[in-house]
Amino acid sequence: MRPILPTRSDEPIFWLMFGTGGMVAAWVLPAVMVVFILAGICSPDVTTGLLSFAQAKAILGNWFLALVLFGIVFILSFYSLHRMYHSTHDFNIHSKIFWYVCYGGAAALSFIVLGLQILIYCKLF
Amino acid sequence: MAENDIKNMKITVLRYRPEQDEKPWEQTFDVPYHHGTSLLEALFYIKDNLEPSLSFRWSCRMAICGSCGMMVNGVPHLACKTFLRDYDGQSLKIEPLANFPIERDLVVDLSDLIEKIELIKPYIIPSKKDANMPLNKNFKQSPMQMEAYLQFAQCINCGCCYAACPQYKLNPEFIGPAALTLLYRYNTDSRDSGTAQRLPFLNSENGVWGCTFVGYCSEVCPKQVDPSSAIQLGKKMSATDYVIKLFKPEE
Amino acid sequence: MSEVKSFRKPYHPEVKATWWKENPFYIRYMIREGTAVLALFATLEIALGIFLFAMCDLDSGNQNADSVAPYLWWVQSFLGNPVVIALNVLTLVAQLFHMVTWFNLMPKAVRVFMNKNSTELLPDYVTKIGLYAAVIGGFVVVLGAALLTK
Repeated sequence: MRPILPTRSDEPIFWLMFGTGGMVAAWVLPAVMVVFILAGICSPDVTTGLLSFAQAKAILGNWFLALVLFGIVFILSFYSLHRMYHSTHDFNIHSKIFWYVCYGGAAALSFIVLGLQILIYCKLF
Repeated sequence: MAENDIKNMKITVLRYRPEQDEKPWEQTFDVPYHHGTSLLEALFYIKDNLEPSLSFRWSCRMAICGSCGMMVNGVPHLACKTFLRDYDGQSLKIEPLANFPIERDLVVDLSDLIEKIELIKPYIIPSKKDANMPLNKNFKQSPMQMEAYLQFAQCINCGCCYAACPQYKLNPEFIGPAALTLLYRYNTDSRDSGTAQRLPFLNSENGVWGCTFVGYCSEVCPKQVDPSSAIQLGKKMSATDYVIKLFKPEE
Repeated sequence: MSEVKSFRKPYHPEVKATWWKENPFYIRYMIREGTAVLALFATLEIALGIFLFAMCDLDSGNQNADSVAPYLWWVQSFLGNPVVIALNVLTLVAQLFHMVTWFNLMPKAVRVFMNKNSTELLPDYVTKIGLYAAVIGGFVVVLGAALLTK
């Protein structure tokens, strides 16, 4: 008789994304937050100042920087919602609904941002 | 504090007598101690002089048998390796190991831990080629091959890591720190060929993926085994296996 | 069959959702996991900025304050809002906390020997120095990109 073996978990996919996202959060998020705080204080306009419209246009219109920006949003949404999904377990809530809410939410957010970025890129050129 | 000064400490012990108690209750004792008094000796004092009915497990008195694990002020410790001098001026609250059913007073039912250790085949499974090796021949192992797993082989099965693990508390099906550490230890042993038999347990939802890297198991381990490190390495092993099987599915 | 009556009645302590309040180590763990909420907040901020940028009138070659009003609202009124600035400062602190805890645990997932003839493992601090150096690199790249792109 063959013993009943447990089924393989698909967690490695999410774990690898979580690991990458955690690294990205540690590497770039502090710097991004510093930029956001400075931009919030110096209140830029169309052409001048940190994160002015012209600068945002330069970033979103550059295919490489736009791709990097999308990569950051994608990996951070999966990283943060993966961690929050596991936190529901930590609060003793064991419901599969949160699995769909968290990973579905991360996928939806990534798709929306990707769509918007393609739209912007096509409009600018 | 001079070596032989005698002081007193208030020790509160959680009591549970299955014949008459519905739930555990606390009993406080006044215990004299000196520089060299361990918690285990304090419990001996209580049993000999104050409360003969107090039950607790112990054997070697030297952190080798792993029998006397218990919660000291909410932290898992071996009673024999815990000294009252380190809690000078405080009181102690002694409870049975968390996350296990309480059998009587400080005695818990560790059978779940033992079953999980059995589950992951914690012994060397030789390859087909070595299966009939004569008993007078040895497996050869280089110092480096030994170093790769040696730290994870120091486990004494005391259960402190299970008491420290919130994921085991929340999901008793979780294979848990000590068993997963042993799984990793045998999978990395150069003499062993049983990796394929153990991987299904490693890869499962209740295997390494039940861990969220709280890291408290490594903090409380009385033998510095560092189970959380073994589990993270196990996650890498499982993820590698997952990716390989994506491209090369099993028959 | 044994004739002896069993008096076993194991007591199973109840699992409460507030288990983490009882130990400072667990509280730190929950804060560490909680930093993900603020990481999501930062991600949503970026997504909002991209969304409002897309809402601007991008077809006309010459942009003025009127045609790019949605983006200017994001960068001036939203990022400039004292509540958002405070949340951003909190997010910065949270992400630095995440960074420290993440890097403290990272060496546990690395088990490499110094060289192929040595039984000595790569010390944890080597991994950590590498990780912190990468953070400084990340700061230079992001701040450089933000300050230099025109």
